[in-house]
Amino acid sequence: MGEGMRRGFIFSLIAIAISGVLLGYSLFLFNSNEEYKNLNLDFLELKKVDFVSGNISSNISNFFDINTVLKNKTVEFEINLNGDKNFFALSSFETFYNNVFENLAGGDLNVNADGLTDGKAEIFFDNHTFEFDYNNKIIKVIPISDLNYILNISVNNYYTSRTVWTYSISGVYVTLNYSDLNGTYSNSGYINGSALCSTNSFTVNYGFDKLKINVCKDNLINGVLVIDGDFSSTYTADVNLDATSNSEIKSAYYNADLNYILNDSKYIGKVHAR
Amino acid sequence: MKKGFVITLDLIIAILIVFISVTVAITFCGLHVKEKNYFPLQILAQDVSTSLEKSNVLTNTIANKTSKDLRVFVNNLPVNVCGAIIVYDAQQSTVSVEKRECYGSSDKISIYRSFVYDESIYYIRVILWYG
Repeated sequence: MGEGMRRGFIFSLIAIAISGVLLGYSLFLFNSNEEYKNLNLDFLELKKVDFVSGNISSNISNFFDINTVLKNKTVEFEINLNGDKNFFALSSFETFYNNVFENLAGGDLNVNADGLTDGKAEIFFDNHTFEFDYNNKIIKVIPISDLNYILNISVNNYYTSRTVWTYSISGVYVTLNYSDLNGTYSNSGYINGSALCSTNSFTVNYGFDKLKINVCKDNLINGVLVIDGDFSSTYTADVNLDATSNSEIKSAYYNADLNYILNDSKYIGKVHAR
Repeated sequence: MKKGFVITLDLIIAILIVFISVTVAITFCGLHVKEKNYFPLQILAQDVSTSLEKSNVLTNTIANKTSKDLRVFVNNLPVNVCGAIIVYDAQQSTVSVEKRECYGSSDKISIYRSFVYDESIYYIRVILWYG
């Protein structure tokens, strides 16, 4: 082999080696780009599923105007007992989500809020139930195990008479801070939660209106908290209710189903209370 | 015999392969950069729409029949981001604002978010693009 041929051969080998390196590098870039793209797409899908499900949870919570806050072993509810709701509107929400918003959000969205259109807002927290009957102005907390309560109630009216409940040596521990235009009543202690609801109540009369608080045996369940507002006129009756369990309360959700599927990402469950 | 290079067939093929490789590599590098920027914009659009709802800007817009707060919000988007926000009731658009002096023409992304005011449902479309 001549000198020229040998040089040409070496140059060819170098050129092929460089091209090999570049091809390898471009292949690496291509793969890393694809991986990056897929990773981001997966992340975006997950983020969007969380975004859409959070959006609907926020809408339902805003509709009911019940502020729900989880704090370790305690869940806090804030509500106006004398509030009113048009439940036909909730049916129109359902139609909007399933017919209009599904197309806007992309993916497969299905919201079933039929369990909430009966005039009652039901929020489940670790199998306990918070229930607000808007038509009859009754709040109930139905426990499946021991719950203690802190009640802060504020009524924008003057009472005409008041009956204070009787405390026991054991039972459900209740702290009550009750304020109205006459002043504030504060006390705490054990209430016998196995007594009938008609036997022991904290009752405040406002002329023809009445607000009654019980911790009692309701539908064979002990320790049910019942706040019954018998109102004929409009004034605010703000209820701030803390229910404390022996274990951590991890989630609170409405009695409504939410399914949202976006390619490989999905949320199938209840509408979270926020 | 003069000194010089010997142009052989395999050298020509190798040069061609190098040229193609460089072109492919540059193309992929370009794609890499372009697609990377698309994702933060999506996240930003979600955050913008959530912030607008949580800060009551949307309900104030409907309640007070004014786009003032919405306009302030959109004009305070990051300097390199352009945006427009359209508010719809169940049937049609009611309010529309766009960031002023923003003429970028990159790909636009949009996201929808619903919100509740006075027991009625509304929704917004947030459109963002790089300026």
